[in-house]
Amino acid sequence: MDNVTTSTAPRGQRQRIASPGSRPSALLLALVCVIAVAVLVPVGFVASVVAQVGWPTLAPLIFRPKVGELLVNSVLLVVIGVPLCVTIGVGGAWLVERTILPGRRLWAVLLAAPLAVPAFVSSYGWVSAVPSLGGLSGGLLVATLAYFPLVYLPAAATIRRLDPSLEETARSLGHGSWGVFFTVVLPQLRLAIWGGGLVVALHLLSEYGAFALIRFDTFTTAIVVQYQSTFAGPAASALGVVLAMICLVLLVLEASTRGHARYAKVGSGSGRPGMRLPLGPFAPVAVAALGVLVMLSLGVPLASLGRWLIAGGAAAWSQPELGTAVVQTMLLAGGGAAAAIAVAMPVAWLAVRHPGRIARTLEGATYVSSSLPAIIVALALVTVTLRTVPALYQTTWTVVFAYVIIFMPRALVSLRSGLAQAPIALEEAARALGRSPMVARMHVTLPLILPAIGAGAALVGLGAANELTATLLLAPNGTRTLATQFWSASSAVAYANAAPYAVLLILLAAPAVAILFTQSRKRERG
Amino acid sequence: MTSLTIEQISKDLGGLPVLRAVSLSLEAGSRLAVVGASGSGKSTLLRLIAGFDRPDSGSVRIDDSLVSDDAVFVPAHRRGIGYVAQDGALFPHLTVAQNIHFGLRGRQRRGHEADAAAELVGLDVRLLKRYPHELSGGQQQRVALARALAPGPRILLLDEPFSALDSGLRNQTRHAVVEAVERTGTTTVLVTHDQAEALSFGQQIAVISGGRIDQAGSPIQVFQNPSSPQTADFLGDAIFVPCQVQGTIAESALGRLHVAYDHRAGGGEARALLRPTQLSLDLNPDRTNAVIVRSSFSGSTVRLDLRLTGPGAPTDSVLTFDLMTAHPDGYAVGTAVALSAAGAVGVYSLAH
Repeated sequence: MDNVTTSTAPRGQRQRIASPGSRPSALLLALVCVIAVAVLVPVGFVASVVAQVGWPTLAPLIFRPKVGELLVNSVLLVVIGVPLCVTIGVGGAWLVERTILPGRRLWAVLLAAPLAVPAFVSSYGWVSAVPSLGGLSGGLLVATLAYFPLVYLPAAATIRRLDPSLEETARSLGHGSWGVFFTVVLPQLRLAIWGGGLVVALHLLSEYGAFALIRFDTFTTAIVVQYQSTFAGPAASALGVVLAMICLVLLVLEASTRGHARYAKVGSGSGRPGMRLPLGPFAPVAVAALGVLVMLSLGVPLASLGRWLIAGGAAAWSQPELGTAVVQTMLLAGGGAAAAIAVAMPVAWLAVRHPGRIARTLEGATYVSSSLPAIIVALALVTVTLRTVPALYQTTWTVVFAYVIIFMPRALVSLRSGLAQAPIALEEAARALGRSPMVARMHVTLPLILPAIGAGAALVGLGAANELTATLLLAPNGTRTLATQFWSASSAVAYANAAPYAVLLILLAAPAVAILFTQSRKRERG
Repeated sequence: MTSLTIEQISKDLGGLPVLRAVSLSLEAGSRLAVVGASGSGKSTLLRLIAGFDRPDSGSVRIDDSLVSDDAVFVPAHRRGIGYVAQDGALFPHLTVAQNIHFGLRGRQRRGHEADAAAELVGLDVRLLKRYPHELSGGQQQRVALARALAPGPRILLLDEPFSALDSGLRNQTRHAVVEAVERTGTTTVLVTHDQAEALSFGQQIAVISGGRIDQAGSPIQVFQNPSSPQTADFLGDAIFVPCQVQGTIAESALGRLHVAYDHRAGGGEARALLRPTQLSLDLNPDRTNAVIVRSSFSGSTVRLDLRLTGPGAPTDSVLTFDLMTAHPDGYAVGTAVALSAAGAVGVYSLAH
């Protein structure tokens, strides 16, 4: 769910949110620089592997048949999986938001709901129902069903915000329903499609559990296998470099297609909801298609889970590790959430209150690192802690730091939109009424951004609770989280024992999805 | 009662000069309106008085205490100012009463200060328990004013507080503000881009453009004797008639005009400034001096374009003005008319 930018910052509002002409304080700039450098550690790690290990050592490790196979698998996964997710996501969003679809409120929720089932839980459901599932087709099936909501949510949010007068104008110029969709609606969804597509691609490349369960090899699964046999040796690093390069190429690609396009509403006016199209005889077809989609993405995984819950009975719930896992997950995830908010706050403050090239660059740096798969972040932190501060290796601090790097965009996006709704004029009004600048912030800005802080912390914490790879590599020995416990049970084919953890993981993920869902449906003010 | 003195204030923003050596002074208890187009520097001036920003040079004094110069800078929260922003800047998480209480300390809060402040600005006390988003725009601005006045500020600063309101509400709210500051005797500075608002607001008006004060004085004085044609045009409909000046007499196509103010400088042709109210039109004259070339009806007025035809009139010059008339028909294009002017004029040199 990383990078799902459902920002609800008000557009075209007259209120000032940036301080004109006033420069950020040296302290703030220095702090954000330190943060940017710290979260760039994984990128530095990749660069230093190339520089230190050297090409002669890396080349034979990279150019071998096994890597070629992984490359083909990963590339096919992205090349086929992303368009599938985009088609399903945009199609679903259009049906829900712009047609007279029976039960559209329910569909709106059901299409976002698969996000609450972690991909590795959904894969567990599928593989225990269809044990022969595997290979590229199995990987595509499981991943597409798990990740299409990453396109659906931003696409639906954008469609809701489209200015209907553009479509009305297109109609008045003689375009029919299909013409309007392809000439007016779809082009305006470009940013949502590319952005959502990038997020899906990054998820496909960094997913471990879902593919390992169905024995489908990608770079990420191979790195974990390599790591378990040779630790942080050059072989794992070499694979990591290739994977990181693919991710960075995708980032650059997305940024360049984005260009300077801005599809903001020009002029002000009341944001009317768009018109809906009658489906006529196609209504049963649309409902059936969505029904099959929901059956496959939610029905199959949840049905298998139910079967294993019944099979495991009370015994599965009395595993002694269950209680420990709940407590440790809450502590680690809570620590990650608090740390991510603390680190994201100065960055968001600089970006919103002092926008400019410096702010953009520093903020961008934090996004680059978060785009790298968790396995790279984990490898980097293992190497860096062992080389510089061995005392930090496999400590809670390192795990929390990894969570901050991986999940910072979630905190940043929430805080940014929160700060954007706390205009600077309010702080000025408080200062004119006798409050010092710091006190004015505490009394006026803080209460206004509390909801954003809460949402950001929840998104980070819930993501961290479901995190598998970095936790497996970085957590102190003996750490048991829900995700790692689920993983060790399900990879040992103890499916019944894994079921209670899966239920808890879904319960933990659900509120985060609810937050994303409501954020994406908020109408803009003004 | 508090006076305000600003001396030689300059401020650059992003490398561009926004204010250049601005000086103004304001007597205790009086009202000043600073009027200028957008980008003229008027809001920056207000922010420097408030203490939100620091001037690059120059000084600000409130009464005899220096609050800003090269060495001293008193921050906004220690200046004892009241400030009303364009959109009111009400705290959305606080009720109206809590908003008004925000600037009050300790014992004051327990009293009836909120009620008193609400009454002062003509706000229904039943609204005190509501939240800002439950109020209309005009009510929000009254709350912002009550909040600013409640702590008894030394100086009240108003940053285009009426511009977000529609015209009827704007006048009503402006009257409420003038009444409230008159009753409390608070020294007040208003910045606005609306000349009618500026002229009607205070005892003093200052016209600002390009970061400089073009002219300051009483509203009537500044309106009747603007120091430049630009200021004249900015403050209201201005009609410039070509003329020849000899002593205190200006000869023009409209006849002889008495020159009250002579602002000619350097070369350029002389032009006499006339306001529409000074002009009258005769549709059935003995001698005509103008012909109607365009006529558009807009309710209580008819906008006319006239070409002067009298002796010495340049053939290319067209005058435009709005005529108030009870008989809007009869002003057809092509009608020859007699245009005459009453009252004294100012003359300027226009470079062409």
